[in-house]
Amino acid sequence: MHWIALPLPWCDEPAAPPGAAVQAAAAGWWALRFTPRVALVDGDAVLLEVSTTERLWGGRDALRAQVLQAWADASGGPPAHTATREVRVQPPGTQTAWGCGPTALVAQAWLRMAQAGRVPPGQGVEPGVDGLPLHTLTALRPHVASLERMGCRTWGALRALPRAGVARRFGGQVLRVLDQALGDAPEAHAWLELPEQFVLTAELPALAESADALLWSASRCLAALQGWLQARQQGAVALELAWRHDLRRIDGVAIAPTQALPVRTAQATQDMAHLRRLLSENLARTALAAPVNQITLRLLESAPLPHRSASLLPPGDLVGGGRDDPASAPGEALHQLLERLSARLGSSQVVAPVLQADHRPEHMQQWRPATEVLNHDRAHPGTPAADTHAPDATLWPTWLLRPPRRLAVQGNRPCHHGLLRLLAGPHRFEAGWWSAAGEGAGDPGHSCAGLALRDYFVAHNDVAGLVWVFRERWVPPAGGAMQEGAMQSAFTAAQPHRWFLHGVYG
Amino acid sequence: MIAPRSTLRVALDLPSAMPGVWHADALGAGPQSAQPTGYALLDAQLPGGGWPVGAMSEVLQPMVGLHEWQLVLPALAQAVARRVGAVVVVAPPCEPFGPALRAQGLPAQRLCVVRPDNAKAALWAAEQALRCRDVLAVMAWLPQALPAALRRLQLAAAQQQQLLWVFRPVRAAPQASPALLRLQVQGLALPGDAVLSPGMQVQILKRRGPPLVQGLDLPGCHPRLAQVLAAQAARRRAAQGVTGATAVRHSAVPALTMRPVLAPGRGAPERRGHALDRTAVAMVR
Repeated sequence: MHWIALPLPWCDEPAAPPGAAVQAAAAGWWALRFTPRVALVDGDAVLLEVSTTERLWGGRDALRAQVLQAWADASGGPPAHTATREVRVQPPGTQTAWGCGPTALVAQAWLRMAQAGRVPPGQGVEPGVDGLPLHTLTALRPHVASLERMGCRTWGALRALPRAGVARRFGGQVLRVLDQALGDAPEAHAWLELPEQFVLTAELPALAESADALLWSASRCLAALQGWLQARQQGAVALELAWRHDLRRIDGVAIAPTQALPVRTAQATQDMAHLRRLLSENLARTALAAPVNQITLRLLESAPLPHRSASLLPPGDLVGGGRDDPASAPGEALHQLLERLSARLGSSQVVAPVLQADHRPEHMQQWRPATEVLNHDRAHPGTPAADTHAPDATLWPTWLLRPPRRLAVQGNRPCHHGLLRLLAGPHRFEAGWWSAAGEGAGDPGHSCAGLALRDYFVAHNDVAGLVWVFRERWVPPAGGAMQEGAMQSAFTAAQPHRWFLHGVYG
Repeated sequence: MIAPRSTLRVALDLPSAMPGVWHADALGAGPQSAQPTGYALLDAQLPGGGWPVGAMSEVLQPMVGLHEWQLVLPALAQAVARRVGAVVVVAPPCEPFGPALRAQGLPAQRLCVVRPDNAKAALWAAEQALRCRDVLAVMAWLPQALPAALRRLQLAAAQQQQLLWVFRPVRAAPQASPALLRLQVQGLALPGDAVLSPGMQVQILKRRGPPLVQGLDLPGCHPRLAQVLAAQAARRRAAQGVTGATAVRHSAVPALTMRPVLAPGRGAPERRGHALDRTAVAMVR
């Protein structure tokens, strides 16, 4: 048995009763990835029993270094980036008070000594425990004064006293605790367990007036979430940050008691930095309806994180393989970029084309949010979408105007930055009769909205360059198909052709 | 039209231990890797033989939307075929037409378009895209960018070794720019009744090497479109030769069916055989 004792990474002021238990437990979640046996004792220390897992982590010293590193990450928290970096650079253990020992009580006692500054931490623990003062055992604290009056100040002195007399005077509890501390009697612990669902509520230290102010507390919840995810070997896919308004109504207008902000990511991740950036981008665009006094972070969806194959070669990191990246290349992945751009600019502003099989140029491609399209392609790389290669696609322009721009006509010739010369065409084109009038698929201002009757030309002038224009063809009025030629020519003569600019050869 | 200067020589006699130093009359060949542009004429004039990878190339143009893809697409198609990664287009002047781009080598599923609201957001988006490891190339239209902002982009591009094109109006030419390569592109005026397809003229304003006085004439459209245009022009001239003789016979052709093939306003009526001509065009395609 080997125990490591550490102080709680953060000590909140006594929180509200409903969330207090969860909140306290969350302080120990980060340790569950090292060993399943984690206990919180006396509300001020985390105890890890590591004898069964230390071989997995590369020995006792390596494990202790990683535990201290994880503790620093959990306590320093994300906002204090520089502080965490400092810890990482210095050999861990020089700042953190910690204790270890063969039993939980010994480890806790050394932790208390270290916290009191009595033992220079990090110098190892000398094997003798007889010299430890009595107040390091929580159960003995009520009796410390009377024992001191007897001249009994240390564990060794207490052990030397006759057991029967001690039991008669101080009760059997004292002897039992001493036996447990010395390893002569079994200890019983309430092991820390993870809840099935991650829901963490935190009271804000002060009323938050702006959405940015929520981020500080949210990042602490994220740190707890990271511990939860690591212990469960899961990655977060969707989160929800909810907040509770302090006021019920403002200026007589009732406001909802809570408000929530969901955040999704494409690939399951344990990387809190990405989630925090997403949250902050979304929060920056959110206006709070009222001051906020409480936030709740809820994990909506998670997925098992695939195990990465470990490299045979050691990574370049000092601390060990604990914080390696799946793709060790620097920079962020594409889905992270797209999610961040969409979060700030709006998902309708970050788009990718999806090609459609259609003859109408404006229907050949459809713009969809890039987070959906590109990630979907990555997930199913074997299904190329609509791979119909039109034979004359190289004759089409690289820019498309949506909607087509109406061109002025001068002497029966279209004008765009001056008169246009038609170089090639017409490419006669008749499609879209099937689509409903409501879709607005046809030419603008057409009587039959679905139908597109056009003649496409490649036109040119020196200013506008090569452009793709079309001329709208005359549509026979519905029902009046049997018209005479004279009538037709009269109709067209009365209504000149309309020309539109639809593409630019850029 | 004008042959490139033959006096260019690569600095061989310089000590190789001094990167970034080259003869004033030679092209600077540094450690910078390059992506061939797809135009031999242009490659010969660019240091390293192509667009610089991991640096900014600035393209100045008289009007947005002209010649960008024509200039960039051959290089982009090669890069896309060789490496994985997305092509991010920031603040384009209009909508890129996916089918045409795919036909010229840029698949639609590699394309991502960002349409920011303002110039500041465009700069931000371009910089973020450059910091992403899965982005192959960035094309950004930044008409109002300041030199300091461009410098940020230049540094970001150097970090991840990506292709970066920034398109700006010609009036930005007098401003200082941190770009490694600055080009100015404009359309070539088409002579009155030429058979030639329209071209574009590229002037190199800044490069690692001596200044280039003459512009380079490059084709202004896809070779197949140029073929079609040439075929049509030849046919039109042949038609004009015949129409003089047959104009009288066909003066009664209904107005609805004529005009389209001929340039309107020239006033010459059309031959009756124009429908056959149209199928001939289709076969040429």
